[in-house]
Amino acid sequence: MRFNQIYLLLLLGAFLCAFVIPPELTDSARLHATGLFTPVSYPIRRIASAVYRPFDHLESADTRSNASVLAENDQLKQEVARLSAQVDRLQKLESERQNLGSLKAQSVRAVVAGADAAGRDALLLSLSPTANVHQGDAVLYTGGLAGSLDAASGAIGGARVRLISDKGVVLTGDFVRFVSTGGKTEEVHLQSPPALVRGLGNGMIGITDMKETDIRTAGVRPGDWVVLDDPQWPGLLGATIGRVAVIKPSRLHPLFDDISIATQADLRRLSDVWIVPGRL
Amino acid sequence: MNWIAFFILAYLSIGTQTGLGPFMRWTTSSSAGAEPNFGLLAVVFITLNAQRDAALMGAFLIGALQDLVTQQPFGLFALSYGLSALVIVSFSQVVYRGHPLTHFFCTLLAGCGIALVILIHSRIRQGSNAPVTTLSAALYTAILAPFVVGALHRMRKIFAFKK
Repeated sequence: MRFNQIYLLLLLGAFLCAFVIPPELTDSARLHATGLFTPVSYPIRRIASAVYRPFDHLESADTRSNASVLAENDQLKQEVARLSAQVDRLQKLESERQNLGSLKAQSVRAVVAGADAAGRDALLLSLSPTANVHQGDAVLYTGGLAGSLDAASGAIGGARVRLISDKGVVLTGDFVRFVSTGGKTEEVHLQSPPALVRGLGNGMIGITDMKETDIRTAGVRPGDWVVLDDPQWPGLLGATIGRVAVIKPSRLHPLFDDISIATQADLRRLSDVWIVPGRL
Repeated sequence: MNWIAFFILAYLSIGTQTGLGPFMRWTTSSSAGAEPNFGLLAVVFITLNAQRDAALMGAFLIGALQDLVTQQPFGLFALSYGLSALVIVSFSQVVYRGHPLTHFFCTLLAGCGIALVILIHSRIRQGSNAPVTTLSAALYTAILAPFVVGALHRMRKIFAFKK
């Protein structure tokens, strides 16, 4: 067989894999190589992360003034001290009944080895081949929910995370505002219908086509938090998704608004995540 | 072609892509976030310099390696790199291989070809690739090509290309 014929067969096979055969069938084969590039991608990512960190700080979507942040910090310090004392007391009281530790204690820490090579909103994790993680497990970062395991397995020890910003991801969220009254910070749930939080691709998350009247009635405004309120993730209810960044009229539908949500960090640039087994 | 050197190049380029890609994102008002494609730069270098058969096979293999670390269906990059390599190989004999403009235009051409395949796939499978972002990525990669492919061109003796 001549080279041209072999090459044509290879292209045909690639075409069938890409356009005809369902991705689930081919995915299982390539999962074993997810961690293959970690020896190169991990150090590069670490160096890039260190270089870009100052710029990330400047690009923060937080519009609060320094003075208000300092004031809030003082209040939060007091609140943390008070809550820590309460938690300690409760843990002592319920230590016999509590078999489960904190969410973090149940989770598996994973180092991010790289991002999707085609620019999709996904991360490649470096994991021990013996790590007990499965497809669908929740993935958290210090700022809240990052995504879910799209695929996990492999002799080389790798896993792939589909981020919540990937196009097609849909979650149900709730609006929350933290209000300071008398030196105490309280969580107030805004009275709005459940919001469908969608991944829009390229690191963006938003709520599209929400009724203007619902937003006005609930009083949603930039700076409010969006937290998870999805029955598919019962154990993670209240996990942070992000903060409302911009509310603007929908370009497609009159009387509806689009809400942009800013995550606490660029999810594609995370360096560590925690995998929580199951959807709890 | 020295296949060991080739595989080291392919491995480094895909590893760099997964590690560095999100940090080199080019965001403008019209482009939501284009990333350079280091795998494509390796493909352009190989197809411009290697013998026809080795160049085609090399481009296909780099695409297959890149398919291992993406959410896109397996085979999409292998197919698009393979087709782009067919185009570049057809005129690689008549261009000045070391010239930065050659690197720029070959990368832009191949990038547009890859973007076309990805966009067709995205249209059929209702994927998430936006034309502006995909074409911006091709242009971004082409801008980097004179530097990266130029540097690789200086190291071409390692690859023992036969022409």
